[in-house]
Amino acid sequence: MANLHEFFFQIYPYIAGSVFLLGSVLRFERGQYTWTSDSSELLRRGTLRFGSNLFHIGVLFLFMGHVIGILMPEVFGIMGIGLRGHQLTAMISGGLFGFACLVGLVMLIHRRMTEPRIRATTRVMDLVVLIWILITLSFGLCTLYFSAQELSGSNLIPLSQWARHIMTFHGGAASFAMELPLVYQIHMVLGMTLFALIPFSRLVHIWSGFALVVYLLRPYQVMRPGLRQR
Amino acid sequence: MRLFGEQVCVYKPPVDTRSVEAFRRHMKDSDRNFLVVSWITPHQKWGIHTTYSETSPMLTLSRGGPIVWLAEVEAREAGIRDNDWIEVVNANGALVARAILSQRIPHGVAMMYHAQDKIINMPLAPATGRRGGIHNSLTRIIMKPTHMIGGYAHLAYGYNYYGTVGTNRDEMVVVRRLDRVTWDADPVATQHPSDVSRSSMEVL
Amino acid sequence: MRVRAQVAMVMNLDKCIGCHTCSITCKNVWTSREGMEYVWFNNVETKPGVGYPHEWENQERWNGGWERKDNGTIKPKQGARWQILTNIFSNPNLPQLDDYYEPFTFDYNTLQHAPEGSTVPTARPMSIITGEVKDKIEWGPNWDDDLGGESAERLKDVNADGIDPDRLAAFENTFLFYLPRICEHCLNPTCVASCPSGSIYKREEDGIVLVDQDKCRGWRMCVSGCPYKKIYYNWHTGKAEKCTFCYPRIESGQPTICSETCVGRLRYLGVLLYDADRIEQSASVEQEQDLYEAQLGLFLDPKDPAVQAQARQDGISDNWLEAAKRSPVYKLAVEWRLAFPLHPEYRTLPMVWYIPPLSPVSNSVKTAHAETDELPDSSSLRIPVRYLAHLLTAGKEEPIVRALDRLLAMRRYMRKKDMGGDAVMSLPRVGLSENQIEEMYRYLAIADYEDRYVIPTSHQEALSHSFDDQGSCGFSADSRFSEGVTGASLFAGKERSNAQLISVDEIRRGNRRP
Repeated sequence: MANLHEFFFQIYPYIAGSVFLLGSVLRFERGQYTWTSDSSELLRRGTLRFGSNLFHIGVLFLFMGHVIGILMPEVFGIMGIGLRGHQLTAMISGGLFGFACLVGLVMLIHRRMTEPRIRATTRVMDLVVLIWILITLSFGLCTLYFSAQELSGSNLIPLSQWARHIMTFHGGAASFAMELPLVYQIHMVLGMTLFALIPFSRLVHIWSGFALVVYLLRPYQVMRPGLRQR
Repeated sequence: MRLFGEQVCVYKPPVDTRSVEAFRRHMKDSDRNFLVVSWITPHQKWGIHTTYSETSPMLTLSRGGPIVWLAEVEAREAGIRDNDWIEVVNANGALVARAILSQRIPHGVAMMYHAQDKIINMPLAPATGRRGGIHNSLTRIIMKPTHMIGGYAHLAYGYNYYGTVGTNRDEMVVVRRLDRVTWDADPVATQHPSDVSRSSMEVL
Repeated sequence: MRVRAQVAMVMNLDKCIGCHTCSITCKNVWTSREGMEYVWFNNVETKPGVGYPHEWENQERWNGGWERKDNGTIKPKQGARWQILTNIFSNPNLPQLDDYYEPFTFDYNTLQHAPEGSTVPTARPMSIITGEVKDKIEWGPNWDDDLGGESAERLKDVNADGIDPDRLAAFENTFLFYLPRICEHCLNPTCVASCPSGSIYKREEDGIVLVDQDKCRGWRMCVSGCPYKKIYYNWHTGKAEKCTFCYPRIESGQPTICSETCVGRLRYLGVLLYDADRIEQSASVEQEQDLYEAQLGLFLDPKDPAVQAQARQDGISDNWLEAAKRSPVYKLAVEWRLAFPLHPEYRTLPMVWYIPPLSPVSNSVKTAHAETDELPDSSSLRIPVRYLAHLLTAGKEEPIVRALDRLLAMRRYMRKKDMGGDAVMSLPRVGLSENQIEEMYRYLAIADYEDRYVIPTSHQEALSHSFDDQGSCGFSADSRFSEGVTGASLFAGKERSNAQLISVDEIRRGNRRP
């Protein structure tokens, strides 16, 4: 058991992270023609307007929430919010956006399974990704129950410590993860795997999504130089 | 030919083929919406027969299968809307196609382009129980003796193949909307062709 | 002044017979692939009609093109950059497949395998997307061909605004003309402006607008940005694709495939020199009706020594300058003012221009000229000038009337010349000299291949490293000949040297995908 823990919370984060980063770089370099959001909106919008917006806004918030809440807990300290306040904030906002995300995701899965055109053009990986996110998200929402049992915020500390140890390449991270309830642990492993799935699926568009900031700064027209500039 | 005054193409009154009167009477009784119009079957735009309008891309650039053009106002009054399935019938036979309603067709005329492919997108005609048919399903040759003069091979008479100038297509037809189409007939033949027109009268 | 050159096109609507040869050749060359079944880079519409995709000209519905803000600048009608980004998860302005059409084929397999029956088998229509057999095809890319369809539906055509619909719909007043459409390769393209990933670009050397297939991320904002709806989303690769103006052909001095195969010989290709510094200014003029003149003002006279000197300085090579002098497009659009941009009010400064069609004499006009053996004048033609003006000059009728008058004057002149009589008599009124008329006749009526297409070869030797292209496939979006689809692997599918891009067998089996 301890070995398993050691693997999942000390070694696996680096495996998943390497696959995620190296895989993304490789795909970007070698197969960029396949790098796309792979939108199915053209075929039939259906419930996409609600589903996609709920899901994406939810998931973006959750991502930012995880980054700030776990990697930068000091932010709360600076704002004068204690551990308890931190946990409450996380639970309420995470619960709210997590639920929105869940609703959106279910709508997206439903659309994908029931719209004949979408269903006919769905690839296995599309479903794998959707279901994987669904499971990960469900476990994430389940942690709310366990958090509610322990409102002091005591789970936040090992979580944050674990993440910090991993990010700074320190040993002994697994011991922090072991302090957490099993639901947390499962959610963490699923989540890490999700990152590993990114380079193998349409999820690579997440990278591009963040790169959209450039558009706001760009002039409208794009011209590729001809003879003169070479 | 010259002796009979047939050497020049001039207007000749249409031949009364008596092909729709019975239907018309019958359908009046049955209180159904229908059109009785004359039937013309010209060649289509920039092509004849299935060249090249029956290739898959060209079918995409048209309406994808047999169509009959109807005058817009008149057809709407008969309860036919654009792209409805319609049956076109007279004593000679029946066909099923989709209607195109258009302002460019004068009243009193139904137009079907020549020889559209019968084996594509063609349901069964309720009147005959058979595959819908093509434009010539509704036409018959009226024998015209002057045409046999000279005995030239290309003027030889063939059943429903060659006839008098133009008038062999000069027909009246009954057009009505089909609410539902069926595609597959019984697997085994039960009807003899000669029963067809009789049974078609009964169906109506 | 900053001189740039573009290979532009003019289409003479007076000669289009609606045979769809251009569409078919284009389809065969560029879009006969999975994901692109519904796409026609070139299509020919019957006007009046709603076209393809459904009502594409109705920008109230699709929000394509640009709009002028109160402060005199322009922004895409679908929104400024940040507004475009808020639509990224779901784009309300994106046409749906049903607005184009659900691509269909027929169950041809039945014809060979049907059991013996009382009547012949028939191939029923089926969706190429789902493989589903259908009872009826409901919509196609050319649904209103030859005025097919109820006039109330067809006259949703925005060009008919302000024209008495009863007059348009009456059998006695019926008119039609064909409108072949490709990408406009605009000077101020909204697709480029709307692309969040910056993957669409205009080539400086010849003005062709292309999508970088590697850089496209499938955000599909270009589709809604383009007012002509001539950029399409490939649902199979998840990338946008558009008319390429057959750039490999243009580079080697050959006409686009739609032009090459045009039966009516109505397409012209030639170089236009324009002032790149004034593009934004021209696209932002206040009055929509001034946009045609504003765009015309961008084009530079290739015979002007000052322009030539500046062009050389801006890197335009001598063979391009020579071609610009002989450009049929310059003659038709600028010299004779016969050709007009399609919907200049979209403010994209389109570079495919159209010569308005003549038409039969209107029924409502007394046919006096029939007795005098005279050709009619432009006011008695059946196609309402207002309709053409809506299409080509944002509603301004004078330029259209002038073009129609010139086309008629040319006919009158040639007729007099052939029949005897004073041929030059009517010319001063339309502002053309005898020489110009003769030249117009040569370009419009004779329309020799060499006159229609004056395309300078590009200078690929300076633009690309041809050594790298050795042994590569002529058109392939990446070096692995992939379809641009990744299953569960990191890269695109395996190399498939004999790949059938649309597998007919699979379509027939009706189970196209696992």
